[in-house]
Amino acid sequence: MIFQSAFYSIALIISIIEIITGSIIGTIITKWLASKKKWDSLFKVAFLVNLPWILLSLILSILETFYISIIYMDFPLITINIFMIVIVNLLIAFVINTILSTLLVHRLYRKELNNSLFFVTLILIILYILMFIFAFIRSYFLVLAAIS
Amino acid sequence: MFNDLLQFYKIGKDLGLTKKEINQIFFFQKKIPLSIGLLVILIVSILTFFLWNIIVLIYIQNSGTVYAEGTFYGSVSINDFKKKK
Repeated sequence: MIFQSAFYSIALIISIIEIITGSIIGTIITKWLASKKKWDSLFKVAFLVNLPWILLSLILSILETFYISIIYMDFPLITINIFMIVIVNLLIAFVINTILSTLLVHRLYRKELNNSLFFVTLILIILYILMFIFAFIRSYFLVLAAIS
Repeated sequence: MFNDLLQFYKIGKDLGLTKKEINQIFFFQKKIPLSIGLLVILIVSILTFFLWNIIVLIYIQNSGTVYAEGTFYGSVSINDFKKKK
């Protein structure tokens, strides 16, 4: 029981670290790319572009915790590939995130949709690789919490 | 069919049209704006996200243990299955 709460706390801390690092890295990359393209390189605008990523990563981490706790606590004998569920969720979230951020870039930087789509995709590929690594580490601790 | 296509392109080139223009005339294309395309993909992917998670949840709910709770596998015999019917 003590170990369980400890592992859940570790998973929660990992989620918080993921969101903080992701938003910082995302904002820095957005600012850098915008200044490279000679666009408006304000910190506030760069942070706003990364807002959909922050919201979606929050939703995904909550969903992941929910699935792992349900699968391992209520149905311990079921063998479901949790990693597959997480990957499919990440891929769909990537598409949603790309479009939302593209619309935001189009609106905030006042650029064409083609340019904004390319701009956003570059940033999100880096952010989603980071998210994937964190999801892997977090799910390891969540499974440990569920089975202990 | 293939020869007709080639001839169509030849006629287009003789008229001084580019490949893109020939394609547009040939397929009678009206370009869909990128914004509408993006919105459609957004709606479809949000729906897919919900559907996928609902499917996973239904699958988990329906794939519970076969035996009653607290049953030891060693104590399960063929007669138990006969009783089930």
